[in-house]
Amino acid sequence: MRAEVHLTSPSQWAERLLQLCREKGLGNLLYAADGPLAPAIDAVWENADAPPERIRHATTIEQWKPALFADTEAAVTSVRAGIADVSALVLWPTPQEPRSYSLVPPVHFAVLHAGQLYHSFAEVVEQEQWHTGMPSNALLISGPSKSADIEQTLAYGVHGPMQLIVLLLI
Amino acid sequence: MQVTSDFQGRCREALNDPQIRRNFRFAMDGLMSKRRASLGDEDEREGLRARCAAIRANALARLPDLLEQLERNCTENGIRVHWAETVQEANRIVLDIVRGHHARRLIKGKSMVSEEMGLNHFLEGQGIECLESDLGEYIVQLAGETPSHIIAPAIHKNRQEVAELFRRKFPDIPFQEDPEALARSARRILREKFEQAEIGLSGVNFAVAETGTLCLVENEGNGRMCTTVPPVHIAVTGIEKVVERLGDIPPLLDLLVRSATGQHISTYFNMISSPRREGERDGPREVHLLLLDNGRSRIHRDAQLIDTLRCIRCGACMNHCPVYGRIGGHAYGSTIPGPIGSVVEPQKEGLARFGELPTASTLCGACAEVCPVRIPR
Repeated sequence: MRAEVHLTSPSQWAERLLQLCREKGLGNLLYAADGPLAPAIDAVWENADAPPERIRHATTIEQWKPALFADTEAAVTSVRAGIADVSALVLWPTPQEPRSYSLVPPVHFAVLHAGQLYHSFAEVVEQEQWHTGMPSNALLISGPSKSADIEQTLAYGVHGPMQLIVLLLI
Repeated sequence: MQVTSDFQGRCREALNDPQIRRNFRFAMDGLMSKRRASLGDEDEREGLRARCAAIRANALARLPDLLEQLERNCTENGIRVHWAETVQEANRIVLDIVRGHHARRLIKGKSMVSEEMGLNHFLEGQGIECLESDLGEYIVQLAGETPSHIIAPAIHKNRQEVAELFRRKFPDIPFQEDPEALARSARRILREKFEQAEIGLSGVNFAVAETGTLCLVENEGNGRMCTTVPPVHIAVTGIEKVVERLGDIPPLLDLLVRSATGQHISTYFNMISSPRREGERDGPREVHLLLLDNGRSRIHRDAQLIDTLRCIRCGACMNHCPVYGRIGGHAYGSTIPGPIGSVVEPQKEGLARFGELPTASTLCGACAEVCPVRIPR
């Protein structure tokens, strides 16, 4: 489904993230300053030589929509779970990591711990007892945005991210 | 005696158009082979079909109760629920919401119910612009046409025709025939519209009574844009789309996607259970769910016809229909074409208008063989 998957480790993923940002020539990276990934990202970025600019916003989307759409090159988010049989990520956006982070920037990095893998969607819903309380938005994401609306030919990067890059932490 | 109805005339016209014949043959062959590859294991496929048919049959058997439960749970979650008996009422409800926000423009994700409502036409008559954002729907809107397939609306056009359309509409963009380049042009044009949109409108694939959750299946991300970025989201759907439990969703999603496009899973599965909550930094501040009847409760009361309401709109019946594959979607003249449209549309819109559609059949039974929810049982 054209998602890139990189195997890395819980101690080294942020280094790998920086390296991937550089390889892809990304000028900036959006992340949640108060989210679960921030400590590792900040530690690596602060010791790096001229890393991509870090973008942090603790405000509502209304206060920075134009910059989110026009100037944000990539975002990184955590992932709640992975679904093995169909290769999909489960995201439950939070106040710290809003839903637009995995949607608007052209590149989405997703950080998934191997321990959060489930066999199937049915298994996640059942084991995590989703029916007892759903978030405002729950998402399954399996790849970059795509369309086959013209001649059944797959075209990538239609409205959502053009690249989905999964960092799988083992 | 020779009688030539509109339908027969449209069929003749389509059959005499070699471009339409080629475009549909190519697309239908592709969709059939993808489904076949994805559902090749007969035991698994038939098990899944039996399960999904039972889920939908159960939902229809308990429809009034489940709709009340859906309304209760959505309302508790902060989603405003509206009921419309007719398309006129439905259009009026959308207009009132739009006017209430002094909005001039609406950006839309894919919704066959909005097509059934004639929503774009209605709102444009009221001075409100409706912009389609699904690539296929966008192409169809630019061309001033209607969708010819429920999941691939612009399937009747080939890349040259789409490229020509873009050249005519956007003379400043360099001419290109590559589908990905065309898609990127649409991306650039629509991105700004998403950013500025005051209201987003979408359809619903499944509505879960147990949790008050609206589920949307898509690949492009335009559905997520419409339901994430604008401050107001209006979801429109038919009353038959409700299912009882959240646990019903994984098998339905699985079979819907594999029947429709042969994918393992769509790029996005978007489950919306409430507007933006306290402390959240994005998502619409208002979510409306509009539930349309338009003849469905009458169909529901008919012991023979009730099963047609199981439909999960995958399009497999049209992809496999020897009639649809030759005349294409427009010849039907109805919102939903193909075998399921031929049964449902005369019921909804009347025999005077669509009474002939059931004759668009060779009695081959391919539609029944591939239907994920076993219509007819």
